Amino acid sequence: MPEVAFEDAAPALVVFHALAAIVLIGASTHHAIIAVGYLRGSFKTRLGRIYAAVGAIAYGVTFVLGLFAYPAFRYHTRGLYLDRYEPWASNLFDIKENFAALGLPLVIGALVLSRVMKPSEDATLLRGYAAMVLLTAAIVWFSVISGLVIGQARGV
Amino acid sequence: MKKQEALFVAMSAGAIAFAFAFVAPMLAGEPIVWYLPLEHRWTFETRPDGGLAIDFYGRLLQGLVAWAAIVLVTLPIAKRGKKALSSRATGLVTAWTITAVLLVMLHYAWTLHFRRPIPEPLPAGYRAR
Repeated sequence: MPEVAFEDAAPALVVFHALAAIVLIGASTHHAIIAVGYLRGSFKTRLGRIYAAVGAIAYGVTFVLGLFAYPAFRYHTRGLYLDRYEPWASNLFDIKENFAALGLPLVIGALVLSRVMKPSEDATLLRGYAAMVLLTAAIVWFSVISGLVIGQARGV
Repeated sequence: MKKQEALFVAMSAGAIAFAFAFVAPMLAGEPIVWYLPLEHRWTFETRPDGGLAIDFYGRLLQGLVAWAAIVLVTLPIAKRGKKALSSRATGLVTAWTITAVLLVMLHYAWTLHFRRPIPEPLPAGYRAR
């Protein structure tokens, strides 16, 4: 049986990946609510900064753990099983991983802006900031739900 | 231009650069870094012959390099701008950024939804994990 990198650690990596995703979905959802609040004139700046930081850290941790678990998933789960019996799950996984990668610069952008922006004074930036935060939250929700659905087809 | 406005422009430009650099290898067939998990090695080419190969790490790396390059170039230029960023300009930058990211997302969703993946051959004595 061929061996791939981090094969033995993959199940534990995926558990921590899921735990980090729990933190991430909470932080990004709260961050989105705060950002919408900015557009409506409610400026909870300190909370916005906290959720931006927690969300960015959780996004990074979730993403990196996923990167380490990926070779084992790609061969044992996808290559040998999902591609053969559940191709829709393979395709959904690849959509999810690409969406998650595209969210990276948005998360960094939202984090940086949250640190330097004064929402009550920088009215012109609020729409751009909110767009970054809301798209990130949508990507996170899609990724988490997809991950749960794919995990029901076959886990690592 | 205020520091936060310059950062907004740089971060938006970086997000657009990342999105296009990330998808470019799939569209242009350019060489990138591939990881061959069964052979435990990395290679730099357009598409490795046969066998299991992962391009995700290479595309991610290319996207991050493009993001860093564009942010490093855009930020000092934007900081030098003497005028404050207008509401219209901010709206345009936001629209370009979100449209670019959504277009690349749509491309992946569309192409991957209709993909027919080719399974790996089952190894001798295979027992599901």
